[in-house]
Amino acid sequence: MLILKLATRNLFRQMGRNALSMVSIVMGVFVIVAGRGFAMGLDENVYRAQINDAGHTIIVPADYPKFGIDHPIDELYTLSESDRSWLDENTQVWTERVVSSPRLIKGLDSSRVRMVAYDPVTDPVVFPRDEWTLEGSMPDPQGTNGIVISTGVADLLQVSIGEVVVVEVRTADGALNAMQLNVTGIIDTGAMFFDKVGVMVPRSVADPLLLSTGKTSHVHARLDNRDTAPTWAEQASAVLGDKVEARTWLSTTETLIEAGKMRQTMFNFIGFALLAMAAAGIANTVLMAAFERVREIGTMRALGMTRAGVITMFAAEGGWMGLVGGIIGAFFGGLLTWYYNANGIDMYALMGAKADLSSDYPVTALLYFDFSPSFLVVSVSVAVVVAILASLYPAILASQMQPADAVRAEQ
Amino acid sequence: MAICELENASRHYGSGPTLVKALDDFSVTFQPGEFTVLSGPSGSGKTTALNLIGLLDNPTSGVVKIDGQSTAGLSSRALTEIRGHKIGFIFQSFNLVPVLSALENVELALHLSGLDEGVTRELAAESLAEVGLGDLLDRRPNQLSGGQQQRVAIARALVKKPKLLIADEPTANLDSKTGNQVLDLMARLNQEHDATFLFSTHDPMVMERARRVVKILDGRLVEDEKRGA
Ligand SMILES: Nc1ncnc2c1ncn2[C@@H]1O[C@H](COP(=O)(O)OP(=O)(O)OP(=O)(O)O)[C@@H](O)[C@H]1O
Ligand SMILES: [Mg+2]
Repeated sequence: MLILKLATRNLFRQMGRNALSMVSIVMGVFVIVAGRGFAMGLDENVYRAQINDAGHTIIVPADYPKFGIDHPIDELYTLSESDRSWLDENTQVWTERVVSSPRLIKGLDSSRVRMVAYDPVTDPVVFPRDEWTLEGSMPDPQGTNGIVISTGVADLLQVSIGEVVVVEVRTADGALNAMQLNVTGIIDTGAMFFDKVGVMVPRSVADPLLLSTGKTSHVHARLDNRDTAPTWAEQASAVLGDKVEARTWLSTTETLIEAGKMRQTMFNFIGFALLAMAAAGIANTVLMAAFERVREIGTMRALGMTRAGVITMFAAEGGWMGLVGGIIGAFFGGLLTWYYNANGIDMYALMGAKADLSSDYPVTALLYFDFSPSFLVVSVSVAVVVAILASLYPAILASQMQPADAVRAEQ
Repeated sequence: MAICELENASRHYGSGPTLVKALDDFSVTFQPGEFTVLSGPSGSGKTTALNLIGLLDNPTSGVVKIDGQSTAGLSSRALTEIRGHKIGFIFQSFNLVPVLSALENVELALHLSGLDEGVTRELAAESLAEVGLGDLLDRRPNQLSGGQQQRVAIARALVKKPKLLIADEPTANLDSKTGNQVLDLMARLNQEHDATFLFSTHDPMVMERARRVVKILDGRLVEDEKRGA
């Protein structure tokens, strides 16, 4: 115990120098903690966005595009009675949508949009709307022809509630068709891509326009347990045949998650590179301390300190630096991840302008970091172990000095 | 039985033309309770001899016996063990640990000889009281005068009740008055503790105080003079 006390006091002998070599430990641990919080948060955010956007599983026409605004209207399919009862039995809830990419015209301006034609009864069950911000109201399926538009479309075409827009489509048969619709509401769903280019129309309005009655481009389903999605998809493919393809929240996000893993690896790499620098710094610092205290080491050896005791003393000194630096780094890294875990971080701001999103990237506007107290403990332990290992070499060197030479050394 | 014996001990440094025979075929025996000075001019081999006796260094040839036991071939750990239990050191420049208080410096010696924390504090305080520093326990070395530091060092060497105390020029860094006080203290402790004191000096004043003077020149023993107490 006295040896630990000694190591602690020795740490304060060269405060400035030791603080400097702790800086890179602080940074290393900070990067590892914050990077992990961000990367893991991003993964979960992608999953959440995908599920909010498409449910646990989707059934689409075979070879249907994965991302983007291209929604081939000539590839619709029709579910048979037996398909429907299979879906009833094997999902918690499911809904059919017809997604198309018409032109939305207001006055002289127009833009391509993603139009989601939805079932007013089942759609809100599969896609809970409690996180949506809705200005105005959803169209009344029984009332006049209505449409809700996303904030992005409203901004782009300068449309406000109560105004009339024209939707120009290609029908499922390949002909051109158009219709006037009243804007009843403006929505913000938190799904980045939809919020930029999406509009929603009830099936009762859209089907006559698209000539899509009874047809489907997307079946979205929620399961009791999202982890069963992959096996569900296999069964669905067997039951529904090969005109369609079953996708899951996992399979659609695969490439993104791979990218996320790369990101995590990159953060770890930077973190460990910083820790390696820290290790070199600590080794150097401890080596300097050992050379400054040659006579002191000799004295303690004369008093009966073993070689192991000398090693322990210097390794403890390095370990302290690892512990203090690690705790500071983990504190700030933890604070950051904890804060963004509670409040989320605005992805729009993070990714630059909202308008730069060119692909259908499933992320929600708010990214919640993953906060893990146990990982804080792990990262501090890593810092301590690295610091101890780094000081081992100078510590062993110090322990190998001949006591006789050491006690005669000039101070 | 002798407390310490050098049998034909030599310590050579370097080789060939740079060979230095710091100690050359040196034999001497010390009995329990002695108060002996090792004297000789600078470079004569005093420190070398004391380092061999204190097991801080190994002889090039010859044998060092402590308490009747040969130390030849012992491991570093075994030598450390003997140092920790049987030998106390006092150095010319005191060599206190600067970050530890007077009390902690003394406790450190007890701690290193394997004693439990519970008892070290009391023993260390007693030992410091014995050298007249009972009220300076919490001072750091840089808050003590040279004489006071050397007294802490003496307390540190004595506290584990070693059989042999080795002091290499203990008064060389002190003025003659303080040096004399330190010698008085060592002489008193020699009587009270029945410990063997072995110290080096080239100061004739200091030699006066010893009951036996071993003279060394160029690494060889040239005179061994016992005096009546
Ligand atoms: N590590 C070493 N390498 C080479 N020569 C050494 C070494 N240590 C001591 N010597 C030589 O050994 C001889 C004896 O040295 P030692 O230190 O024992 O003398 P000393 O009597 O203690 O002298 P002083 O009174 O100056 O302390 C000297 O010639 C010295 O130069
Ligand atoms: Mg000397």
